Amino acid sequence: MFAESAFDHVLDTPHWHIFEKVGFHLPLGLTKYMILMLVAALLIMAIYIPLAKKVQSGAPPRGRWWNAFESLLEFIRDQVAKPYMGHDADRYVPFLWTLFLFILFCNLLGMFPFMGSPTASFSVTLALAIITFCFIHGSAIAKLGVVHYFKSYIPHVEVPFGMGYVIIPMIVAIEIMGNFIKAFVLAVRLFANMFAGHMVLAFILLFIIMVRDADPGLFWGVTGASVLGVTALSLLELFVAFLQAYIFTFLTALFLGSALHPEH
Amino acid sequence: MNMKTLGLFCLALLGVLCSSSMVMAQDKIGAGAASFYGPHIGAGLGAGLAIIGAGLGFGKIGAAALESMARQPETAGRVQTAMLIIAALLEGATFFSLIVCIILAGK
Repeated sequence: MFAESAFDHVLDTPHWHIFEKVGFHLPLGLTKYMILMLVAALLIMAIYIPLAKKVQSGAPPRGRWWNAFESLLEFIRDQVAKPYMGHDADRYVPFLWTLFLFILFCNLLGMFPFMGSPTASFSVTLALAIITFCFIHGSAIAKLGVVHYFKSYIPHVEVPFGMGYVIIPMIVAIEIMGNFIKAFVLAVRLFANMFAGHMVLAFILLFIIMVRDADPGLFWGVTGASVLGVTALSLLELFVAFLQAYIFTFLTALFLGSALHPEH
Repeated sequence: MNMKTLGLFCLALLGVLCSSSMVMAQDKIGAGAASFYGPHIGAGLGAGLAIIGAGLGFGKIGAAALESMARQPETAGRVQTAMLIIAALLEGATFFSLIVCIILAGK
C-alpha cells in the first residue's frame, strides 16, 4: 500500500491529492501535470513579457527582481549558446531560452507543496526531446539544404584497399542511430532525475505514516529525522532542478552546433 | 503573431488537451503471484551495482577536478563547470539502470 502511495505522488493522475483523504478530480480527462505545465507557461509569460517590454525601450532593467531574471537569459546566451554554436548563435537563442525556462519552471514547480513537477512524467520529457530533435535537424536541413545535410554524415576516411566502402556505411549508420539515441537520452536523463528525486522525498515522508501505524513509540523520533532529511534532500532537489535544466539546454546547444557546423 | 494565428494556436492547444483523455483510459496491470521473488532480487542487486559504478565515477571526477584546481587555481571556475556537467551526464547513465530496476521491481 505504501509503495503505491509514494509512486502515486509522482505519477501523473487526473485526481489531484491535497491531503491524505482530500483531493479533487479534474474533468475532461485533464491531469495534474497538464494543468501544471500551463501554470509554468503562464508564469514564464507573466514574468518575461513585461521584462522584454522594458528592455525593448532601451533602458536596462533596474532592481534585483528584473536583473535576476535577465541574468538567466544572459547566462544562456553568453555561456551556453555563443561558445558552442559560434557566430550564428543569435538565431537559435530564443529556442534555447524557451527550452531552459520551461524546463526550469516545470522542475521548480515540484518544490512547492501540493504541486508537482511535470517533468517527472516521461511523456513530457519525451515530448521535449522530440521537439528538440526536430528543431535540431530541421534547422540543419534549413541551413544546409537536404542533400548537403545528408552528405555531412559521410566522413572522410583515409583507409587503404577499399575498406572505405565497408567502413563508411557503418559510420553513417552509427551517426544516424546516435542522433536518435542522444535525443532519447536527453529525455530519460531529465525524467529520471525529477522522478527519482521526488519519489525519494515521498518515501522518506511515508516513513512517518508507516511508523504511526506500526510502532507509535518511535513516532516523534522518526518524524524529526524524516523532516530534517526531507529538508536537506529538498535543497539538493533545488540544485538538481537548475542543473538538469542547464544540462538539457547545454546538450541541445552542443548538438545544434555540431549539426549546423558539420565541418567541425 | 496576429490574432488569427493566436486563435488557431489556442484551438490546437485545446484540441490536444481534450484528445489526450483517450490515452488515460488504460487500466493499471495488477501484480502477479508474489511467490517468485526473482525480479525483486534482481532489482535490488542491480541498484546496488549501479551505485557502485556511480560512486567510483563521481570519485574519479572529483579527484581529477580537485587536483587540477590545486595545480592551476586560475582555471578553477571552468574546471568546476566541467566537473558539474560530467557529473550530471554520469548521473543520467546511472538513472538508466535505476529505471530498469524500478521496472523490474514493479513486476
